[in-house]
Amino acid sequence: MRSTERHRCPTEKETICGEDFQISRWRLSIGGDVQMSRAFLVRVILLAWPLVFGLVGSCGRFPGILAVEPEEVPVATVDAAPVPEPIAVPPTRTDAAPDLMMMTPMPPAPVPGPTCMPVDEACNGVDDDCDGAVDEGQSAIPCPDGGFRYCVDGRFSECPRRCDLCVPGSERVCFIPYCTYWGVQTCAADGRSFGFCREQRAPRECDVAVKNNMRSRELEQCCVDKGYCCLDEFDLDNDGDRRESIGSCDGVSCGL
Amino acid sequence: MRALTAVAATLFAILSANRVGADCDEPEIESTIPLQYESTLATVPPNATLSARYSASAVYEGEPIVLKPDGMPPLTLMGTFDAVEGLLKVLPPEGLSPGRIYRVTWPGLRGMTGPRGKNTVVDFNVSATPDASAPVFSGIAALDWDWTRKTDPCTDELLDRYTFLLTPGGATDDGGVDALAVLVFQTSGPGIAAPRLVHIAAMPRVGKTVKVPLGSMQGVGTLCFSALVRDSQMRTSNANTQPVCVATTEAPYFVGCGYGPRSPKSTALIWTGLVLVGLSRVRRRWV
Repeated sequence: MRSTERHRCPTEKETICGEDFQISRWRLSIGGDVQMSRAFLVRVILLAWPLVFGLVGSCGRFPGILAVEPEEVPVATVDAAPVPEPIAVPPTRTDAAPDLMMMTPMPPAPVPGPTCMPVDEACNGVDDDCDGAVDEGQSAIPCPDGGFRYCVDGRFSECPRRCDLCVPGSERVCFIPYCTYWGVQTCAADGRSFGFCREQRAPRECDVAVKNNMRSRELEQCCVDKGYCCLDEFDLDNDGDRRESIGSCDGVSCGL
Repeated sequence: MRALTAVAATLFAILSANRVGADCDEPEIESTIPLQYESTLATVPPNATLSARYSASAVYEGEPIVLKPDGMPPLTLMGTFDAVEGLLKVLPPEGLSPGRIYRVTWPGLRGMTGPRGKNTVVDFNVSATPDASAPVFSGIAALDWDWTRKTDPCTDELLDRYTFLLTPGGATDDGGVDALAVLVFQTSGPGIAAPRLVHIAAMPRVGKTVKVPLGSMQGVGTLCFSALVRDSQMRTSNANTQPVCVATTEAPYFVGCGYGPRSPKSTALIWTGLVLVGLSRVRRRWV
């Protein structure tokens, strides 16, 4: 009579792919007068392989490669019965039976990377000189108006500006849609924005533009032509920026 | 009677002309290296370059920097000023004496369009180890943000600002961390094509933050920041630090037709005018 028994060994903790897994090792015991051949064991292992994959086969880059260490099993008669499914092995046990599978993760095979060809380190976010450090030793580049450009996150920073948007307290001309069509806005104390556009009377030299065109491209052109620093509301320079200043903006814009 | 009215009108005109705050464009000293601490003195290496950072429109006209060693007569030094960074630097010609306490007085500078700011005094100690190598910095450890809204002295209007609170990670330097400056770069966000230096401040002590203010147009959206540290010899830490990002939303303020709450200054001005007019009428009745 064939009597086999599968019993669950105490749960063991193993490390696979850097993580701890609770792995239960199943021991197939062959008891009584039944013995299994090596061929039978190999078939069982092959059939169990997908299950093993399911357990530990999702370890990132290394699909579940497990070393199956065949145990020495006494050679016996070849059983003509159909190969049983590993999970469906009828439970019979013998304490002396060997472990069927030892799941031991194999160390990942070393993946040969591209050979590092050392060149001078540059500010590009890459380890050019193959020393393990990225963008190290990049000197700051002096800017013509003062300040420096620094290597940051693989790029050199732009030359710093004296202020974000405008010189604190400075004024530029703006255009409003009513009454005088002309106004002035003052730069904030931190240079990061202009205040509201406050209505003023347009200068005499732009009276004609005001009367004929009101708040218009022509009025902005007059503002520029007469030497004011003006909000480029009508994009006279066709750069798509309608919030910039245009005209005589020394002392208003943030360049030196 | 006419004379009294004229005086009232003149006073009103003068006050009106100064309606934009008197402290508009008065350059502040935003940061000094080393900083003045309340509890303990900062310590710098004997070869340190001392520096102070002024707000945007400061103009340096050769104002003296006074360096006074403890128990010795003061030294009057000339600094070098980088207007773009707003940085006034001074290198004591004989260096600093290890173990001695110094007091440096940074001068208030005049603004391009405004009055002179106030002096700032900093006391510090000097270590025995000179600064010889570049600092090491782990980058920004944490990032948060907030809105602020306050009356601007130049425009006399309520202005919104985004304030980003950066917590620097660990930094080390052979000259000590009190002589380090943090350089904050905005690496992405509205209008950012290349990393932009947005703030320079003294390296805060552990657990403290660096406040980086940005305008309402520059501060909305997804913004990323990266930081370097710079030692007293102007050497910077390694450039390979990871940027830290945060997403902001627009401030929930409604700007309606310019009829916002009046600032105290405007209110005082109006009351002053009314009182003067009232006084003149009372005077007329008596006469």
